[in-house]
Amino acid sequence: MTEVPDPYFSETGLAPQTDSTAAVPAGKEGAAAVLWLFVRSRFLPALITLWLISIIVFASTHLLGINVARRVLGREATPDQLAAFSKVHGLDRPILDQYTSWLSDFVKGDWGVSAASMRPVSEIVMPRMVNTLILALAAILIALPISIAFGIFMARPGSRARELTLTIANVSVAAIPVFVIGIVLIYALSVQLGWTPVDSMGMSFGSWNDKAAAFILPTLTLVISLIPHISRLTQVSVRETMTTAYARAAVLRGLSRRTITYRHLMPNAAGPIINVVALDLIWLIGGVIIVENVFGFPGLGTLLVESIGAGDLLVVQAVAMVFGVLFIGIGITADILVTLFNPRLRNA
Amino acid sequence: MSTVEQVTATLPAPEARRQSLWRAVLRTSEGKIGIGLGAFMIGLIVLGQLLGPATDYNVAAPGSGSSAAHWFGTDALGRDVMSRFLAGGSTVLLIPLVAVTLSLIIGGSLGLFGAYWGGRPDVVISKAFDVILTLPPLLIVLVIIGGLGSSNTVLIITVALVYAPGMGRVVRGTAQSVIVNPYVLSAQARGERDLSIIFREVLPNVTGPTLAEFGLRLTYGILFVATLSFLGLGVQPPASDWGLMVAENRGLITVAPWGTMLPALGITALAVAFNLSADALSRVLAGDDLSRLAMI
Repeated sequence: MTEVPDPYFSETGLAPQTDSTAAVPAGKEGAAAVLWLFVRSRFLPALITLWLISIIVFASTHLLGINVARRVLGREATPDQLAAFSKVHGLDRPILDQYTSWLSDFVKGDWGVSAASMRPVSEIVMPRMVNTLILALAAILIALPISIAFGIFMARPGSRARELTLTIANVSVAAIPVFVIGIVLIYALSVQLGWTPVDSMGMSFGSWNDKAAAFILPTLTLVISLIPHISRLTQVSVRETMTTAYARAAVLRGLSRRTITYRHLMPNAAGPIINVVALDLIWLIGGVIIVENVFGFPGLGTLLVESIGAGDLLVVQAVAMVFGVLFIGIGITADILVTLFNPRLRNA
Repeated sequence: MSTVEQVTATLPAPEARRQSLWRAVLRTSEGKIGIGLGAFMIGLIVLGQLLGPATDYNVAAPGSGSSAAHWFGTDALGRDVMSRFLAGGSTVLLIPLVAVTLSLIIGGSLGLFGAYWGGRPDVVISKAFDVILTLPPLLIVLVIIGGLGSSNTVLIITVALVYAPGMGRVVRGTAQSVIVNPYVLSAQARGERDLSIIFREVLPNVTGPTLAEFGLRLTYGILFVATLSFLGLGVQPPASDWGLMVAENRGLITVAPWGTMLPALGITALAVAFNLSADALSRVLAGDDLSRLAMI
């Protein structure tokens, strides 16, 4: 059988490039060039995204004519009190002035004082951020191996019935709202079986055991909501490598299925998988916000929703910005991982 | 995408094509289940609207379990769960439907015109799409709702704006593969106006992938709006809305689980139905073919 050029090669960038080693810059200058490329292609867009988030956050909380003072002080406040509040919090200055001073203060680490609780915003946000990070990392670390195994399983060509069942199951689970997953788990594991606490109150008041137990349901919910996404992406990625000439050659050489999967397919599918998982972080952030609110988990997501309800705008802004920074930071980390996994992408 | 070109090139007149797409989707098991479940849920929602909301307070003891008079029990305020469930489906379906349609109009027309005219406007439009797509949607919508407060209008507009770039990118990509076809070039050679070419030659040929994306976005939209209502930042009480019902009744989950489970089931069934239908459609369009895979 003569091999025609596979159209997937050009689309996925996974074509075995024989001259790839020649293109990798060598030595110190090479490293500097790679670093500059990285800054230009990853870091600058990330900064632009962050800047855009800051504009949206600031505009939606300031430009739209909400009376912050009225919201915080309540309906009973006198005009004098409102004016004094506006002056103290700098709300009477021109909007552009407020934005630049807020942004520069934010970068310097001065996030202001919460209008509702009168505590420094950074003091409120930081412990919550740690909780959220642990939750998100635990979820992704548990979800990744399970989803990848499941994705490889789904990628194997099989009977029509098998294909259909797996597809329908995956697409269906992907459409279950995250909060419904959480509530069903509460009902099944906490109410019916009594295995886990119904909420994450143990995080705030309990012992170390209670704290650990408080993580179980939120993490499990996030893992279940992530699995259909990542496994589908894995399936697509592995299938793409299955159409390549080297995969067919490996089959014709009579190699075992295990060898083909783990030695020939996975190393090539890993890069795209990590890349897409990094894109899936948008999804993870949404999931974290929802899950925290289902279980009353003391993280950034609950803080965001609480402070939106209380009209505590400085906290809303800070949380949104911290989410933005985390999101971008994890994305860049994933990029570095992809590069380490796949030397061919180093100069891409 | 090469697959898209194949589909659009081999299919005849738009009318016949739409029919065959519909049939092709219904021929797949995935499409059958999705469309069947979707039709059932929409029927249930319409029926619920016709019956009218029965939101009388204290028709029975608050939080009572299922009984002969109240099949699915009552909620925290003693309202009948089943009648609130029947009345509560419309916002779950309609707000995302209007929002996603709006996002299709905004994003789709930008993508279509960008692809047709090309050049600098196209670059600006697609760069703007790319930048907005990097933002986490829930975060952005929450922040905007935090500033503006929540109402159905705010929900529709923010969700539409968040989804517009995704819709636009799909329409633009598909349109780009359509406008190189001879029939578009010959229409240009005949001296037809740009608008008429866009609407009569290009638009009918991008409907398939656009429809698949629309279905997918509608699934996300349903999840999104229901989630916002669940967080207390979407549809506001005393409206009966499935997302809101889940939030209101979850405290009673130990004594009257139906108040939470029934609306949760409703949202899930609706989203699953649309997701299955959209997935079936995109598989039909992509001409899913396993024969090219290495058989391991």
